[in-house]
Amino acid sequence: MIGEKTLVFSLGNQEFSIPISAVKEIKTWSKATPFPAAPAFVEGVVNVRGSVIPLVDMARMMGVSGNSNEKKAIIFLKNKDKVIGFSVSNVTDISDWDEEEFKPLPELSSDDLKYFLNGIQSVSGRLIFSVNVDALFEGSLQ
Amino acid sequence: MSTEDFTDDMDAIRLIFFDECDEQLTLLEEELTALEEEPENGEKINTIFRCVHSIKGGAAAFGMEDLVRFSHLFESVLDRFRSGELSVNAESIRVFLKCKDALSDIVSGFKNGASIYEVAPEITAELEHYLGSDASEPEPASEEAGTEDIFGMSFAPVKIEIDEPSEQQFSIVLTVSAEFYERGDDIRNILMALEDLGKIKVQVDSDAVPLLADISPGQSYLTWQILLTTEKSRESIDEIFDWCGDDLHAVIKSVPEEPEQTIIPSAPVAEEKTDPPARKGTERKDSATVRVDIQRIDKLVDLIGELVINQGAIQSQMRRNKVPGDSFLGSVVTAQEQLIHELQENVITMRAYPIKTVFQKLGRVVRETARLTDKQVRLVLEGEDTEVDRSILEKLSDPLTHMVRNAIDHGIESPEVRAQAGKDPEGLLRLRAFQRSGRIIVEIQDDGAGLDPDRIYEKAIEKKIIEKGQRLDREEIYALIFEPGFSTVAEVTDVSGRGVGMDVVKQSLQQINGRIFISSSKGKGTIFSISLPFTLSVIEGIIFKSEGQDFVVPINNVSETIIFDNSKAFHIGEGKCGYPYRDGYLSVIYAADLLGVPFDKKNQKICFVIENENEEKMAFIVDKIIDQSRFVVKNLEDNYRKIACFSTATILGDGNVAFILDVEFLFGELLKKRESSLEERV
Repeated sequence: MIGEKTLVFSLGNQEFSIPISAVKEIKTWSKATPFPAAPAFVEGVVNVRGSVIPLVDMARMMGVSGNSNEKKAIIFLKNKDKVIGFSVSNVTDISDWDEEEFKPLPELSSDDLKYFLNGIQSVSGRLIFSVNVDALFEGSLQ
Repeated sequence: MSTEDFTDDMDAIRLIFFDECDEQLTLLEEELTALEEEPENGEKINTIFRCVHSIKGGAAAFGMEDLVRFSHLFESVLDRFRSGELSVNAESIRVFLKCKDALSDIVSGFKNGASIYEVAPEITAELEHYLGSDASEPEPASEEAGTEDIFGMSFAPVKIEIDEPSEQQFSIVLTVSAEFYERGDDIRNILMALEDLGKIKVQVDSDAVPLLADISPGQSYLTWQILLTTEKSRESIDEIFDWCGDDLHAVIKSVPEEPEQTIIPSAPVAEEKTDPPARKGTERKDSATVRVDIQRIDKLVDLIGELVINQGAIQSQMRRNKVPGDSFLGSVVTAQEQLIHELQENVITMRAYPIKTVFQKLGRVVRETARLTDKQVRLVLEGEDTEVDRSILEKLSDPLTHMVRNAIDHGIESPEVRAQAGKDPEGLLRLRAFQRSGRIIVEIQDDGAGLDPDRIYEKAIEKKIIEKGQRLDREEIYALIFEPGFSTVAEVTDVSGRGVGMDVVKQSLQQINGRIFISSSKGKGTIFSISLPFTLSVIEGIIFKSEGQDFVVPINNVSETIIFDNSKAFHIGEGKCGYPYRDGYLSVIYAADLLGVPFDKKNQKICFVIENENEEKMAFIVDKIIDQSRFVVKNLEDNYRKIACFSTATILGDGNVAFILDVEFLFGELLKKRESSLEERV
């Protein structure tokens, strides 16, 4: 996976990244249609050019604390045959950092968060967490 | 969403091969069944031979050796029948059908990724028996397999089996004397006898017929010119004419190499006589078709769905801007709506398949079940060309298989019992498909013992499905067989009667919005009739609002819409309400309740009387009705999973998603409420 680009985004005041190959589309956030008995982190479903796609509040699902109420963008990720939208605070940039350069998380990290993360990297003073796409999908479909 | 590209061309070609195999196998089954009716028909054997041959050819190109070996063996046997060395009888047709089943097993084995497939030795043995002493033909497929090149891409050339060297053509000129008719004979008898020998073309030469005034009624003026293509010898033709003596004059000439067109020039009174079933077969092949990947059509259906949504957006924008419907813009948009609907209907029919594909598979189920249960069953298919949406067809196969098994196992009696009852020892199973008022009806009819309401009733009490003394009418009793855990036969048989039966059938039919009805008469048989929608991608529904959110309820579940008067609703225990309706009372469910949001009951103005498959009714209370329309159905499981209350969703004109109410779920909720109140009392 050398040289694969990653998409950097923020949840509250923390930065995260995902491999750009999993990203299908980015849109400005809009309100989803809620449905009853949905898990708290599922905002509802949205229509993307004729497909009905679930919208997941990523910060809420991963248990990221902070001012995560602010949602400006939806990142649509593709995994196998499903597409799920994740609302995030903001999309920051696209970088060339290798996934492999990420270091493992320290032992003390919260279990919830650790489940969704591959590792951590610091780039000129910024701390960026790499998110595991498979875990995101697994978590969302529960 | 995105089109899946085939990275591997070979895989794509393999898929086409398997598609073709399926087509050939369907045709094979069809022709074998037809052969049962007329075992003498040489044309049928030819078609059967060609089916097996083309499967073999393709299999060789893909290096599927076991498939090649078996189809080669089958083909060699068929060749003997084709050449007239052996003749077709009921026994050989039984073997052929077995081989066809084995063949489709091998094909599906390879399709599912197997590289070797062993055929049951007894089937091979039966085939080899027909080959006699010289059975051991050494080359399984060397002729075709040899052509496989290093890329494995080339298809073996398929031999075209039309002009067999053993076939000969004869030209026969017939004239008859007046005595021929006086004896009460008919030229048709001769023609029919000739037809039995092979393919005939008949032309009547009426040049000798005089003017009407000069006609002597007793006299024959006609000359018949016949072109006979046959594998039989000259002697067998002569035999026919030996019969007729001198009243009939025949000149028989052998015409070896010449193409038939030169012998019989097109004449004003020309009549072609080939046997009708064979002709039907060729006609079907001639109908021009294009093979299109189903995903492309699905994509097209999706795109048109979006077009419908966009159309809705335009119309809602026009309403908002108060554009009058009779303005130029208004009429153009209305015309556009018409066109889009037509387009949608047409594309949906493109996805339709004849139900034949499912029916043909059932032939095998019938044979196997009849064998396992020692019963004699004749399967009759009707309306096989009725077209059903592919998505429905896929889900129809399992329930139909189950019902056919049930009909034979539980419905049709053993030959002895049937004989005692004065019936034909051979049971009749009729599968019929037809269209009625926009829905597809599939009937499974047997002439067996029929359902016994008393036994079903007792059984249901025994299984604690109903309480003793409960009063049910005949239809309600029949419907009990769809209850989970109901099985009328005491011992579990190999075939059916595992207790999971009709309830699973009903459930899987409900998934495709199917309804099932039973009519039965004791001693005469049972008809199960399934009513199916033509498509699952569009539904007619009513859009309503509840607490600011839009929802859709399928129109076939709404039996009535009435104004809700909150003051008439009454409480029956915690959170449960009743409402008067006609001369009774209905349970009430508030739409807003389902959403789990706090709401004011005073806002609830409309009551849908909702009905499910079992004709149970409930009052479903909403804020207001917005519109009635057609909605494009979107599956939630495509990108998410099953959710409570709503099985599907649709996209509205403003681009928002609206959920489509799952009525069966609502009734389930009602049941849960009932059960929870029971628990509370305990």
